[in-house]
Amino acid sequence: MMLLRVRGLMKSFGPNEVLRGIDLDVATGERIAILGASGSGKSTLLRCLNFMEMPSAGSIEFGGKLLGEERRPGERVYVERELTSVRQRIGMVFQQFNLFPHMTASGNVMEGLRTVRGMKVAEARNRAMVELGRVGLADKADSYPAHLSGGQKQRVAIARALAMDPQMLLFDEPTSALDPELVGEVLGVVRALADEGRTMLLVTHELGFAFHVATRVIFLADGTIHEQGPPEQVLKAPTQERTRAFLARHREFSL
Amino acid sequence: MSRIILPQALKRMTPALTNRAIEIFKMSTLASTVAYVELLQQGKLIASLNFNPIEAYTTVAVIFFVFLWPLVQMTYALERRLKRDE
Repeated sequence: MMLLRVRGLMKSFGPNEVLRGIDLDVATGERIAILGASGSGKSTLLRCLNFMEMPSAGSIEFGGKLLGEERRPGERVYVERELTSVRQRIGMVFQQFNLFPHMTASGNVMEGLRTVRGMKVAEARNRAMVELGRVGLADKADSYPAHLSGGQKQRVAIARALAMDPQMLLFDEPTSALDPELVGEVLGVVRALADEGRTMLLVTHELGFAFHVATRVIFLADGTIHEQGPPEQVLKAPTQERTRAFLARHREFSL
Repeated sequence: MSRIILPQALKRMTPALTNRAIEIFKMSTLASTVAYVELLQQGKLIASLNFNPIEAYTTVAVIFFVFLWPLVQMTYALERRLKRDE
C-alpha cells in the first residue's frame, strides 16, 4: 500500500526555489535514505511532508487521502485540523533534538500523549516509560535535557516521536549534531526501528548506515530527485555524474 | 502556549521581576519627598520628638530587615526551583 504519494512538490522562499518538483511514492515499510549536498533541499523536503513548511505547489497524499483542497488552479489550501491529524501520524526527529528544556525526559515523551491524545498522566507516564525503555533510557526518565548527553537527548527525541504511534518517521540528520562516539548509540536505535519494519525517511550523511539500513536511496540535487534506486546501485554504481562527484567528496577522507 | 512557552518565559522573567519588587519596597522611603510619611520618615519624626535617634532608626532598620530578608530568601528559593532543569 502506498502510504505517501508526493506529486510535483515545490517550495520556494521568496525568490529562492528550494524544491523544484519532487515526485515521490513511499510504500508502507520502506526505508528511504535521502542524500544530497547542503542546500539541495533535503531538510525542506522532510519539513514539507509534515507541513512544518507549507508547500508552494504540488500535492501530497498521505494514507490514501489527498491533503488540502485546490480552491484555485495550482494553489492548495490546507485546513489546520487536517494538518494536525497528519502531523500526529508522522513522527519527526530533528538534527538539534528540539526537546522541551523545562520538561524531564518522560515529560517530553508524555507531552504529545497528554495534550494531543488527552491521555491521563499515569497512563501517559506508563507509555513514556515503555518508549524510553525501548531506546535504553528508562533510568533517565526524570532527568532534564540539560543533564543528558547529545546521544541521550536524541534518543529521548526518538522516544517522543514513537510515543504517538506514527505511521511514518522522519529523521532530519539525527546524528549530525553528535560527537562521533555518540553517533553509534543513536544509529543503533534507528536500526532497531528499521528492523521492526517501520516506514522511515532519513536524511543522513552516514553513507554506510544508509547502505545497510535503507531499502531505497534518493539523491537530491537542485531541488529535484537526481537519482534514486536500491542502495547497492546508487551508492556503489551511480549512473549520474553529480551523484558520483558527491560520493567521491564524501569518501575523500574516509579510511 | 501555557505548557511550552509560558514556563520558559516565566523562568527568564522571574529574577528581573523579583529584583524589581525588592527595589520598589526599598524605594518606598522616597515617598517622603512628596510629603507622604512612610516608615523612615516616621522614624525621623519620633527621633526628633524624643531625642533618641539610635533607638528609632534601629527599629526602622529591624522592620526593613524583617520584611526584606525573608522576601529575598523566597526569591532565591524560587530561582533555585526554576533552575532545576539546568
